Amino acid sequence: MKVGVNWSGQRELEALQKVLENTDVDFIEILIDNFLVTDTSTIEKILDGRRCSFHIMNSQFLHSSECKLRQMADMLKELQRKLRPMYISDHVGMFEYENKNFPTMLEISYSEDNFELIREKVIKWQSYLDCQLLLENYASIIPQEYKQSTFYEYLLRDTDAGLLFDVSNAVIAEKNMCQNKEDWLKIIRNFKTNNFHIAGYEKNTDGDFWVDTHSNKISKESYLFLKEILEINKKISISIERDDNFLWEDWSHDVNEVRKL
Amino acid sequence: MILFYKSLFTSEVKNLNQRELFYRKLLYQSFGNLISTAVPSIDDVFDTKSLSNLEDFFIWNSKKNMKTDWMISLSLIIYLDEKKLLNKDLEEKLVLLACSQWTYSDKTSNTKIMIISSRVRDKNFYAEKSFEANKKRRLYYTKLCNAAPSSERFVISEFK
Repeated sequence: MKVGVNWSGQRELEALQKVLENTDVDFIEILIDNFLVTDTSTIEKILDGRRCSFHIMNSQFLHSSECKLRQMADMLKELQRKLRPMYISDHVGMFEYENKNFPTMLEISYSEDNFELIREKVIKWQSYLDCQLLLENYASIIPQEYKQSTFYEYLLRDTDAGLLFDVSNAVIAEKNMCQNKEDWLKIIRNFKTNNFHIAGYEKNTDGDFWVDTHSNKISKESYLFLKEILEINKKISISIERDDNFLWEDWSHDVNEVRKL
Repeated sequence: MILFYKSLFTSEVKNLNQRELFYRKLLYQSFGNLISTAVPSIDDVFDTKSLSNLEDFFIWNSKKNMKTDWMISLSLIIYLDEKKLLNKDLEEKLVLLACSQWTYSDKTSNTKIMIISSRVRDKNFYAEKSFEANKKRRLYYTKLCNAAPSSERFVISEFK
C-alpha cells in the first residue's frame, strides 16, 4: 500500500511540510488545477523525490466550454509530462444550474435521463486529457431514487474511466441514508480500483446529516471499511486528505494509522 | 436534485424536507463564511450569519442575472449599493476579494487580473497567480491620480 497526503495550495504548506518531515509519506496528491501556471521545479522541490498524483477540483467539465477545457487539458498534459503523476482524477459534480453558480460543488442527479449527458461529457474530457480519468464518488447528503454506485458502474463501463474511491465519502453517504457503502465493493472488485481517498468528516450543527469536511481525524467506521477493501485489494494507493483545521500531528497520526492496516 | 438546485435561487420551491432546508442553509453559510473571513467589516452592514440576508442576496442575484461565480463579491457590491449599505472601504475590499477568487477559479494560462471600479476612481485592483509552489498569490492595488471616467460599473482585464 502506498500512503499519500493531499496538497491543495500554499495555505496548508506549513502543515504539509511538517507532516512530510515527521512521517513516512510515499506520494503527494496535488490539487493540480491550483498549480496550472506553477514552475514545476518548485513543485519537485516539495515532492523531494516522492511520486505525485493529480486531483482536479475545478475543471467543471460538465459545464465548461470545449475551448476552455482544451486549454486546461493542454496545461495539464504539460504538467503530466514533467511530473509523471500516478493518476489523474476529477469530480463528477454540479457547479451551476441554468447559468447560476452554486456556492460549492453539488451532487449530480443519478436519474436515467441524466446518464447520457454525463457519459458524453466524461468521454470528451477524457479525450482532451488523452489518458484514463479517475472519477471520485460523492459524499451524498440528499437521498435519491437511483443509486450513485449503479450510475458509476454504468458510467465506468461506458466511458473506460476509472474509479477514485473515497472511503469516507461512502461512509458519509451511508450515515446519511443515501446508500449502503458495501454496494461499492462489487465495483471496486470489477473495475480493479487501485486508488483511494480517506478523510475526516463531521455532523452538521443543524439537522441530522454528516458532511465531508476533511477537518478532523479519520473515523473508526472509515478504518473498518478500508479494512474490508484491503481484503479485496492490498496493492492500493490512498491519499489521506486534510483541507481544514491543519493540525499536522493529527494528519500525521492518520497517515501512520492507515499504514498499520 | 433539480428542485433542490432551484431552491438556492428562488423562494418558490416550497416542498423541501427538513434535511434539504438545513443543507440549503449550510450552502448559503459557506458563502457567508467566505465573505466574512475575507472582509470582516462586511458584518457591520450585512450580517453574513443571517439566513434571510443570504437567501435574499441569492434570490436577488438570480432575478437580476448577476454573476455568482468568482465575481460574486462584485454582485454583492451592487446589491449593497442598491440597499444604500455600501461604503468605499467595503467596496475596495470586495473588489480585492473578487481578484483573489479569480486566481483560484481561472483555469487558463492567464496569470493576472485587473479590476477597475467606476466608484473607486483613485485605485486599480490586481491579483497575480503564484508561479512558485511555496509562494502565495499576490493581491495589490495601484494608486491613480487622474482615472478616466467609465460608464461600466466594473472593467475587468485579464493578462498572460
